[in-house]
Amino acid sequence: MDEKKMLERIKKSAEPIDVPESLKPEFMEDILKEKEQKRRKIPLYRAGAAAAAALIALVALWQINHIGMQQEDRPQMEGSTEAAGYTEAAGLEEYVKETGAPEKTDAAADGAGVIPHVSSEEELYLALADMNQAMSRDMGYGALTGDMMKEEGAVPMDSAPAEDAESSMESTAANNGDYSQTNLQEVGVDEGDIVKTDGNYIYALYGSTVRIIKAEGENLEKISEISLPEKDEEVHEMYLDGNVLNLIATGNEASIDEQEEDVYFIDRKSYTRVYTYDIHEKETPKLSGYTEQEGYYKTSRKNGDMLYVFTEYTPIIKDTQESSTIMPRVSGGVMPLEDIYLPEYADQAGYLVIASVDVKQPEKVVDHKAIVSAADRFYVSTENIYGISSHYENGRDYTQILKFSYRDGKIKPAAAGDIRGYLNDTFSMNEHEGYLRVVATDWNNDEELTNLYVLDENLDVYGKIENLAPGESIRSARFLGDIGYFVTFRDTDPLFSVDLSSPKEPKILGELKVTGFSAYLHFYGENKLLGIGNEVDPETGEYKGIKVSMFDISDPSDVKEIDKYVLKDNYHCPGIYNYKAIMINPEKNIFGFECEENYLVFSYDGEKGFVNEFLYELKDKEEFEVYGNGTRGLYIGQTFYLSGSNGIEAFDMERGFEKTGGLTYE
Amino acid sequence: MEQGLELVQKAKAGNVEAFSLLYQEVYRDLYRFALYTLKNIHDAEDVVSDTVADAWKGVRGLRRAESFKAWIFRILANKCRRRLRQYMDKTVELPLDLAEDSRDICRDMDVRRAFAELSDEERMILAMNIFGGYTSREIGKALHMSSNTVRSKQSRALKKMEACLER
Repeated sequence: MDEKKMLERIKKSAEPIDVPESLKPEFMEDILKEKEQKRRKIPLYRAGAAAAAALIALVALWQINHIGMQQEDRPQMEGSTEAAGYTEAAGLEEYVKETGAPEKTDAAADGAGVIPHVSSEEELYLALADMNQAMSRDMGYGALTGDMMKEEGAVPMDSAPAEDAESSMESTAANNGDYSQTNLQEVGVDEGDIVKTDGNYIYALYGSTVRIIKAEGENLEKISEISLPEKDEEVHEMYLDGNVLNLIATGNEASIDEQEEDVYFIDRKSYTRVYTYDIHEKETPKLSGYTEQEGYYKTSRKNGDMLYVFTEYTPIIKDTQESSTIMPRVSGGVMPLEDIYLPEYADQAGYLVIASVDVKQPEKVVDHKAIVSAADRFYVSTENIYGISSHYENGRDYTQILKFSYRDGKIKPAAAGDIRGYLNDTFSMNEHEGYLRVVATDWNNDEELTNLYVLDENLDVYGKIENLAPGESIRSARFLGDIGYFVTFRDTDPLFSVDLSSPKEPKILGELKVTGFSAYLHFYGENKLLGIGNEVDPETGEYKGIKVSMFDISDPSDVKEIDKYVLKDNYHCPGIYNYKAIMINPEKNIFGFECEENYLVFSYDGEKGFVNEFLYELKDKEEFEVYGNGTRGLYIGQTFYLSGSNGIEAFDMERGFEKTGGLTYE
Repeated sequence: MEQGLELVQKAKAGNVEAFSLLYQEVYRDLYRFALYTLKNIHDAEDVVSDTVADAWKGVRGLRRAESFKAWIFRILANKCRRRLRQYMDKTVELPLDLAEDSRDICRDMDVRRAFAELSDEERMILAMNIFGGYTSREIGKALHMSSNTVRSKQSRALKKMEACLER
């Protein structure tokens, strides 16, 4: 049967349907007026340890005992998952890839060693042209409406300002380090986000404008704004480090090429820039410089003063090498051939471009590499960059892993490997003492399976556990040193604990079955693991809502769910797929996230379990927009701030989150 | 589309007309999506007008490179999913408004009837593909399943329809 034909038929069958009058665009004003915004009550219920009366909204008294004001310590950053975010409409079209690659052996992984160079431009052109042809032969799935949707860069949260001796940040006694940081995946590796704070100012990026706002308790005052010199560039995210603010933006250049008489071919090229601003003087941020690389922004990481930017570059492949443009450019110059790599198995006619910038010398690209690859998700440890891409071949899923070592801005390809299956998210990978632990879902005869691999430095399989949890797929994972936890799910959620102290012989220590599943895991204080995910009815498979769970992991072989809190009928929760949308600090015992038009803040009490400290309705407030990806919760000292696309509101955490201030942008 | 970007900018600035023009390009697909998913005219109307209202409130947050269509569909899809769950609590069979238009050509009616016979999940997946233009990976993420699962469910659904239509 031709699936495409059937899809077309269904589409056609809808064409004669008349849209009701009331929904026609002519009556837009009426639609908008008539729609009364009904206040929706969210039924909350709790199950678990302590009995408590049904809790709704504000707690009268903020209990200082819970939220210790740590004047001194820098909160532990335990990292966060990179996930595509609820706003994942951005996704490149997925092709069923038939690139004519060599037959896959049954080996679970194939570490190809160092990634091969390209010997000549011609070799490169031929490889790209081949792949291009193969892909256009099979248009695959989702091509019906042909919307070219761009993948949004990861939306990160704020960074930890580095120990910068030269920083002349004002430091007020109350705020020494007691402010939120971006929820990171890996300690020591900073990530960008749309909202940052240094404890005195809040930097908020919305649209393509950055607003610098002085925040002193309830007083919010906009000090200045940064708009890029190029009006049409889209700013993705920022990094903040002392008096240096980096903005990462993507722009487009179009050029028209006349192919035949009167037939024009428009080449659209994307480029990505790192702008560095000196924000010594908050009233007048100064542009110190910028660098540029070709391609659309994927993500970035920062380690010390070095910022590493990953873009995807699509070459223009035409019938002849001369008429094609296949070499990526970085800051004006074409990349030399020796910086371009062509893996044995290349899965797309496009490049991953990695470039590094020293924020102290913002006009110069320190190092750059380009690899022919579809790598689109990244995990970066303090030493290595891992890029993964998945492909589907002969009925099987494979994940290719490319490894680059990096140090002081220098990037070196280190290894390439292939494993069977696909990764749920980037938290499914973790590096420890040189080994990469990976947990993947694979298919075998229409049934899903879970495999755990420990790969060595060359990305060869060193240890493994295969065929776990048949019929289920991985929903979340988190590793810490010698222990790993991951959740699989179909009807119920086994939370597996795995002992990784011996890389050659990983061992499953325990398996806890609970209802629903966690989509995000975060180590919480001493011997606890927080999960945020969904509650599901084990018999009907019906999703009941969003759930937060607390697990006691003091004995990994006997993990217990000590409390859970379900937000019934809630489904939209950006934090589940975008870890940077979660505000969390286990040491301060606070975490918060947006859920179905509200923002919630929780703490955890040993006896009472989860305490909902704050519930704030975002709908109908002009500062926030509910289905975007832009709301961020953050705190500075005792003040909690909610930053939205059109303003910020301040709440006093010591007085039950009473709203004490606000600032609207327009 | 240059014109689209301009419209988005205007809509973000509060221009209702610009917003209506953006809506005009997608409203038919929005309605078809809702109707095919929910099988019920009244609910489809409700859910689409809710979506429009929410989209109007939230359009300021729309990022430039993001497609208006993809974004408004996300809102609609979310609302449809919530509705479907509410249906599960209802024991009453919902009217198949999908097949009731007597002006239709027989074939269209048959296709719609066959479509209405699919499960909630299957209708959702197909509607997201056909009217929303989502890829299997995006559908997978929205419905908490792998893209493989989406593909195989879609295949099965289409096979079901074919069998239904051949009768």
